[in-house]
Amino acid sequence: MRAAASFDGSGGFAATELNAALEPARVMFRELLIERIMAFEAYRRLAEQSEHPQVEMVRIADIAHKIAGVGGTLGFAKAGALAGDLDRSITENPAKFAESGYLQRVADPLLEALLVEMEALLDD
Amino acid sequence: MKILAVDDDEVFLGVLLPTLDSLGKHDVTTAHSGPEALIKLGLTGEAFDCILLDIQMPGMSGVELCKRLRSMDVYRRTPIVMITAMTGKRFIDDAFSAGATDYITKPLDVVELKARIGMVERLLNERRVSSALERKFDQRSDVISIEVDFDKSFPIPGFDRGVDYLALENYLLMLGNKRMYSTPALGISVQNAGLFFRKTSAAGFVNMLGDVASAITDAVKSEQLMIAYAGAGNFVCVLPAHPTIDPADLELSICEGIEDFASFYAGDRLPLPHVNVGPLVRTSFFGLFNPTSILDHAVALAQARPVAKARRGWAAA
Repeated sequence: MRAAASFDGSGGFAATELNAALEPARVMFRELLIERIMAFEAYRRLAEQSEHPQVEMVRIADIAHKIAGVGGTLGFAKAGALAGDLDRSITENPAKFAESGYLQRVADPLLEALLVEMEALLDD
Repeated sequence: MKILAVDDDEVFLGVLLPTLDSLGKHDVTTAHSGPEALIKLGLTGEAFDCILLDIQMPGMSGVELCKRLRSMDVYRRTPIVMITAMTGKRFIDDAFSAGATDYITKPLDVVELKARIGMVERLLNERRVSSALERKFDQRSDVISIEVDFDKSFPIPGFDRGVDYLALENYLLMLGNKRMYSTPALGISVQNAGLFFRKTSAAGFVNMLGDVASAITDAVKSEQLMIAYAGAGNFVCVLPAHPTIDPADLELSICEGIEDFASFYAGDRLPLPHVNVGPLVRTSFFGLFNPTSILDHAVALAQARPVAKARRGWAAA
């Protein structure tokens, strides 16, 4: 599961040393998992209840954006990739929110897959 | 190097800091928002050498912060590297227009970060030369001893509309093939720049470029474009996909602007700078494969055009 950050090996740091230096960030990422899962679920509920869920979807995209930004580097590649897909599905199609069922059809399955992966990380 | 890193994600900062550490000794200050960054910029004694800005932050975005920084004298030329996820690439245009020097993408890649930091260090060295140049110009001394490399790009003192040539290249590299094919460029060449370089001091050469830059600034003030000094007396612009600019009109406006300085040149027994504006250049599927070669091509065409003097009845001393 955990992978060393990409490293060219020419600096003073060894790749393993950098990997060790990233441990506090990795711990922080794990500590935020529950908070982020709960936020995702809360915004999803609000989005499902709203006729115009733009605000809730942007919030979901913001959280996904943060996970995507560090997941791969910290060794949580699958969560990072799923979060990137979710972020893209929302931010690259803002006009489609108005389309009936877009949320359920496109973004929700991605969010569900990400939530499953995040819950699996909680169990690690 | 003294770096300010601004990102609202604490975890990302937790990745960035050790990664920067792995690349060398840097003094890194962090901020979690635009307003916090502005406070820290105000509190610091010595200015930061480089600023890393997340584009997508709540409240004040990285692009907005970049604009604010560029409006401060001390950060007018400081390398600003934007940080964005792949999904944020649509914001990059705005970032370059706001004065960003370059960008890196999340997730962070050490090799990419190392390349960007290396670029910033090279740029800082060039800046030191340029700052020394500007200080000497500010002193308005008649005897100015500066060194300028004719062929190299450097920031022209007072040319606030101009961006770094490197930033222009980075912008083109970011566009990707599809958008690059619809993005035109245009060169502006001072035909007798070599003569100025040979016959006057380096200060005289830079002064002449400053006059041309001032005339260009006046001529393009309402145009949406990015412009940089490319070295050897050449300027190059990157324009929007459907430009409203007419190269012939632009050349006329620049030449008229330069004529305002005619008495100074006559007093120094120097000719007026002869400016040619080249045609609009676009990348073709069969021609220019390197994204930045469009800049070289635009400059080459501007250099190759016959001198405007005959066509315009424009008087050169």
